[in-house]
Amino acid sequence: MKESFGQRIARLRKAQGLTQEELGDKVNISSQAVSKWENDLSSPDISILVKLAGILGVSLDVLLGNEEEKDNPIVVPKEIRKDVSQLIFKIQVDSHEGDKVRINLPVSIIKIAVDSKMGLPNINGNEALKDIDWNQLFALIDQGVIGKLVEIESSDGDIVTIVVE
Amino acid sequence: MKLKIRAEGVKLNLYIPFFILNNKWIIKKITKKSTKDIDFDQLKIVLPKMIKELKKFKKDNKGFVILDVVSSDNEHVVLKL
Repeated sequence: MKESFGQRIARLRKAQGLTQEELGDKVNISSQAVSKWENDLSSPDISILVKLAGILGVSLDVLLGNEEEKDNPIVVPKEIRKDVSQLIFKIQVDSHEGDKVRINLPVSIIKIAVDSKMGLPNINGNEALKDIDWNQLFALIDQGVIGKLVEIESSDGDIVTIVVE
Repeated sequence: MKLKIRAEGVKLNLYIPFFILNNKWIIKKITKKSTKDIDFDQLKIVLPKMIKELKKFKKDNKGFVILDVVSSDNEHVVLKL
């Protein structure tokens, strides 16, 4: 069954770790109104849809159900951005041999490693990560970009993706 | 940190204290490099910073999955904070 608009708001809100009250505070409405959206009893006003999409970390098309979620990068407005210490780097490696590796680390920890020139490949040994310009990724994060920032397929068929949430 | 290993006939749960990450032998094993290739002077500065940050993060995110590996032959390794 297709997910309703309200169900989508509820799922995205929970994925962001927000309560109905916290989401309501961010868009200046009551938690009861958020509850009504999530139960499909009412819909958010068009004037707050863009802000709502930014808070929920998706594009407007994804929020409205016109487009599938693809972890596409989006720019989060400055006033609703998470602190860098709360952001997570999700590094996913799907090897050609069928191994699946998922590394989740706070952005702040990877920043320490990169600033010290330690680099990530030394830690996990994956060659596909060697050429990633981490400083460029941090520059994007500083500008409020989140979502899938990198997708690489190495010569031996390993697929590496890096998502910031 | 908690390490959970599941494989055929293997069910292992280990508690890994943070201080173990400062151990030269462990670093050598993790990075699969000989000790001469690792700049331990640099690690001595960087690792405590990373561990401090990880401990800070753990306060609000207990049980957070740092590493999840599923191999093609169904071995499963999970490292949680």
